[in-house]
Amino acid sequence: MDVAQIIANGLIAGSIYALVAAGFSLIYNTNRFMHFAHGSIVTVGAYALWCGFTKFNLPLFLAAIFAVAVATLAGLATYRVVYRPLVRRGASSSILLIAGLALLFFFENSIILSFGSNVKSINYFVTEKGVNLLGAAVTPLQISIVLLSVLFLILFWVLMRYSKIGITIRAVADHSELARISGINTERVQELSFILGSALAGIAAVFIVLEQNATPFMATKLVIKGFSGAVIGGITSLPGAILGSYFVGLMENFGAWFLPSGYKDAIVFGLLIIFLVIRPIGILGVTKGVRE
Amino acid sequence: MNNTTKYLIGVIVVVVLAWSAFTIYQQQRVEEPVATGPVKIGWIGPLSGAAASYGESIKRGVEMAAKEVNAGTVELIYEDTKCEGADAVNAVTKLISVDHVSAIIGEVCSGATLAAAPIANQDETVLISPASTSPKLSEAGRYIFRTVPSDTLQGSYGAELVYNKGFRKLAVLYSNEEYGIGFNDVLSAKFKELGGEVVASETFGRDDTDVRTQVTKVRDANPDAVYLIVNNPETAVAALKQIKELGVKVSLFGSEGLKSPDVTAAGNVSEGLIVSSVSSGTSGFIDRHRAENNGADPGPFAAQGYDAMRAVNLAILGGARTGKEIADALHKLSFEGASGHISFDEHGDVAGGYDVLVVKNGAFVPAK
Amino acid sequence: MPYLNHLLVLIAVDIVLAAGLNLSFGFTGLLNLGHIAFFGIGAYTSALLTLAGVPFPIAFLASGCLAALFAPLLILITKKTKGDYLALATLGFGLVLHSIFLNWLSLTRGPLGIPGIPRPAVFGFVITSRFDFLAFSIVMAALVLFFLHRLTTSRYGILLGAVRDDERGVAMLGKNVLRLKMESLALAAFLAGIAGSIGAHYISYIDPSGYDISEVIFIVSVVVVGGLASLRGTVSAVVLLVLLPELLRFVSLPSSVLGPARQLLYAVILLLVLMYRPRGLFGTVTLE
Repeated sequence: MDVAQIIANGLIAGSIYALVAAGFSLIYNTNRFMHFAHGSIVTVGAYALWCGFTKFNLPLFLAAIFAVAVATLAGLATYRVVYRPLVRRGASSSILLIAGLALLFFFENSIILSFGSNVKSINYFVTEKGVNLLGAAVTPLQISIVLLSVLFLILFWVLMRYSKIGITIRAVADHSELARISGINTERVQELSFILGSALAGIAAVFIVLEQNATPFMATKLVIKGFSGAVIGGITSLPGAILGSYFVGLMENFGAWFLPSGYKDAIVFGLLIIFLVIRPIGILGVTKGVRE
Repeated sequence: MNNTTKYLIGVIVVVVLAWSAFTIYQQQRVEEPVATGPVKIGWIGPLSGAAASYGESIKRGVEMAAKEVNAGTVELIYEDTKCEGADAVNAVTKLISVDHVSAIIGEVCSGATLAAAPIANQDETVLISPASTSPKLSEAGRYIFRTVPSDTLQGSYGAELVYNKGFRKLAVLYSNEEYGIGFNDVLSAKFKELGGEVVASETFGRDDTDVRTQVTKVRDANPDAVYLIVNNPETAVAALKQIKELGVKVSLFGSEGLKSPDVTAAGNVSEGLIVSSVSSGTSGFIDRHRAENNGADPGPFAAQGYDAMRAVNLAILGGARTGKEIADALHKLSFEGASGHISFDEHGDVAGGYDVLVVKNGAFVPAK
Repeated sequence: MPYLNHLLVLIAVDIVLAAGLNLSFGFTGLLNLGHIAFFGIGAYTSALLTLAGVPFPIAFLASGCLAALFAPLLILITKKTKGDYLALATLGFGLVLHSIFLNWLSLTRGPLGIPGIPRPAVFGFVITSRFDFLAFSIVMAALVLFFLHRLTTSRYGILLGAVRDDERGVAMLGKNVLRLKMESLALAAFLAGIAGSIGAHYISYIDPSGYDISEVIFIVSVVVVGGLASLRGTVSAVVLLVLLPELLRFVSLPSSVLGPARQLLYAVILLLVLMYRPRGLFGTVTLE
C-alpha cells in the first residue's frame, strides 16, 4: 500500500480542517456556543478571492488579502447583527446553534443568487503530476499549503500565548465571570475572537480555492470536519483542535483505504463518538471553564 | 410570558393562517374557468442545492420548447425541489392539487423522481423526467415517462466503448447514490461479460471534493482506463484534478454528468477526457440554444428537457387535457426531437442514442 | 384539497417526531441531535417488514420497539458526556447511522432506496385515500400529544424535569437518574420510530436522504423554535416550519431566482423568529 501517499493525502486535508477548526474552537471558547456558520465564512472568503482575482484583476497576493478582509468582515457581521443581539436577549446556546444554521442557509443562498450555482475555479496554477516526495505524489502547491497553514497556526498560537490580546482572550475562555470582574470587556473579547477566527477561515478559503475550487455548497462539509477535528483534539485547547484536525484528515484517508470508500465520512463520526465516550474533553482538552 | 407577547403571537398565527387560507382560496377560485385559459404545465427540479446547475440547464431547454406554441397556450409553473425526495413529493402534490397542472416535467435526480412517482400515479398526472436514468423508473407506473434512456442502456454502451478502444483493465470511480450505483452495476457487469477485468471500483459522496485516497487505490490497481461516474460538476472537477496530480496516466472516460462547462473550464485536467453522454442535441438545437441564450451551449439534459416539453406540447395540441388522455397521447407520439427520435415504449422509456465526446483544447468535440 | 391534506399529514408525522424529541430534549434535558436516526430506524424497519409480508400493525409496533432498543445503547455510550458534548456525541450517532443506511446495500439498498412500500392495512381495512391517511395520522398525533401531556404533568413528568434541572438532587433522593434518562429517551425513540413508520407508508418510498443532517436541523429547529418543554410550542412550530416553505411557493418570484430566493426568505424568517423570541415561541425553561 501507498503509506506515504495516504499520509500526504491526510495532511493536505488536515491542513484545511485545522485552519477551520482553530477559528471554530477560538470562537467556541470565548462565546461558548457552536458557530455553525463558520463554514459559510470560508465560502464568503472563497468567492471574494474569485471576484478579486477574475473580476477586479488583482494580483493573486492582493486578491488573497482582499479575501481574508472580506471573510473577517463577514464573521464580524454575523456576530454584530445576529449573535450579539441574541445573546443580549438571553438566547441559550441551542438557540444560537440554530441561528448559526439559519445563517448557513442564508449565506449559501445569497451566494447562489449573486454568483450562480456553478463551480468557480481560478486556475492559477496549471495542474500537473505532483513531484515525488518520499514516495508520495504531491504538487508544490500542496506542499506550500501544508507548510503555510502550519506557519499560520504557529503564529496564531504564539499570538494567543504571549500577546496581551491572546492572554485576555484566554482569560475570558477560562473563566468569563472572573475576567469580567477584573475589568475585561468580555463582549469586546468575544468580538475579537470572531475577527481572528474569521481571518483564519479567510486563509483557509484562499487555500481551498487554489487547491480545489469555490462552490456555494462547500460550507456544511467543512464545518462538520472542522468541528469534528476540534472536538476530537479537544475544543478547549487550540493545539488540541489543530492536532485533532490532522488526526481526522489522516484517519479518514487511512479508513478509506482499508474499508469500502463509502464509509469515509462514517469513520470521522465513529471516531468522534469513540472520543466522546472515552475522552470527552478530547486529546489535549482541559475541563477548565467547560459548561456542564 | 406576558400578555403583550401572547397577544402578538396570536396575531402572527392568525395572520399566517388567514394568509394561507386566502392564497389557497384564491388558487381554488382562479382554477375554475381554466378550460379556456392556458394549459398549465408543472416543472420540478433542483433550482437550489448542489444539483442546481442541472436544473437550470433543463429549464432552459424546456423554455425553448414552450416558446414554440402560441403565446397563452401553455403556462409553466416552476417548483424547486433541491433534488430531494420529500421536497419533490410536496412540489408534485402542490402542482397537481393547487395549480391543477395537466402534466409535470421533472424531477432530475432518480431518487426524487421515484419518491414523486406514486403521487403522480395516484392522481393520474403525467410525470415526464428529462434526466432520471435509474432502471427502476421503467416499472414506476403508467403515468411515468422519460425522455432520457435508462442506465441499463448507457452502462452497456459505456462498457463497449471502453472495450472497443482496446482497454481490458478498467477502474471505476462512482458517486455513492442511486445514479452512480445503478450505472456502475451495469457497466461493470457488461465489461466483465465482454471479457475485460474491473480492477478497482471506488465510491465517494456526491459532493466530496477530496477523493485522493480513492484515486490512490485506483492507481495501485494499475488500470489502463478509468471510468468516472458522477452527477455533480464540483466533484467531477476535483476528481479530474486529483487524478492528474496523483499521476494516474491512463485514458479517462466519464458519464454524462461530466459533460458540463465547469469541467472544460477547469483547465488542462479534462484534456483528452472521453464522455459518453445522452445526446446533447442535434446541431439545429445547439445553434438555436446558442441564439436564444447569449451564445451558451446547451448544458446537460437541456435537449431532453426540450423533448419532454415538446412531447407535452404535441399531446396538448392533439386535444389531450386529462392525465389519462395525455398519457395515451404520449404513447402514440413519434417525432424527431432535439435528442433524437422520440417514441415511448410501454414502460414510458425512450430508446435514445448516445454521443461520444472528447475534450480537445478545452471544448467538447464529437469523437470519431 | 389534496395539497392541504398532504401538508396536514406531514404536520401530523412531524408532530409525533418532534414531540418525542421534546420529551427527551425539553422535558428531560438530553440534548439529543441523533433523534432522526430513530426516525430512520423506524421507517426502514416498517418498510422492510411489510415488504416481507408482516402485517402493518405488527410492523408498526416493531418499528417503534426497535428504535426504542437503541435508546439504552445511546445513553450508555454517552453516559459520561453532558451539555454541548452530549449534543455532539448524539449528532455523531445520527451521522453514523445515516452512513449505515447509505452503505449497507444488502439490507437497505443504500441510496437506491426502497420503493413500493405498501399502504397500511389495519384489521383488513386498507388505508388508501389521502383523507383516510390524514384521519389515521391525526388520530396518532392526537393520541401521542394527549399521552405526553398526561405524562409530563404527572409526578413522573415532574421527576423528569427535575433530572433536567438538578440531576444530583434527584440522585440524592434515591432515584435512579440513568434509568429515568433511559426511559425518557426510549419513549422518545419509540415515538420517532412510529413516526418513521407512518411517514414511510405514506410516501411509499424511502431513501437515506430523508434521514440526514438537514432533517436533524429541521427537527431540532422545530423543538427550539417552539420552546423547550412546551408541547403547545412544538405543535405551533411544526405548523409554522412545515407551512412556511410551502407558503413561500405562493410568493410570486421570478423563476430565475425562485429556488435560492425561497430558501433565503426561509432563513431570514427563521432568524427573525429567533430574534423576536430567543427562548422559542412558548419556551419557559433554558438549558445551561
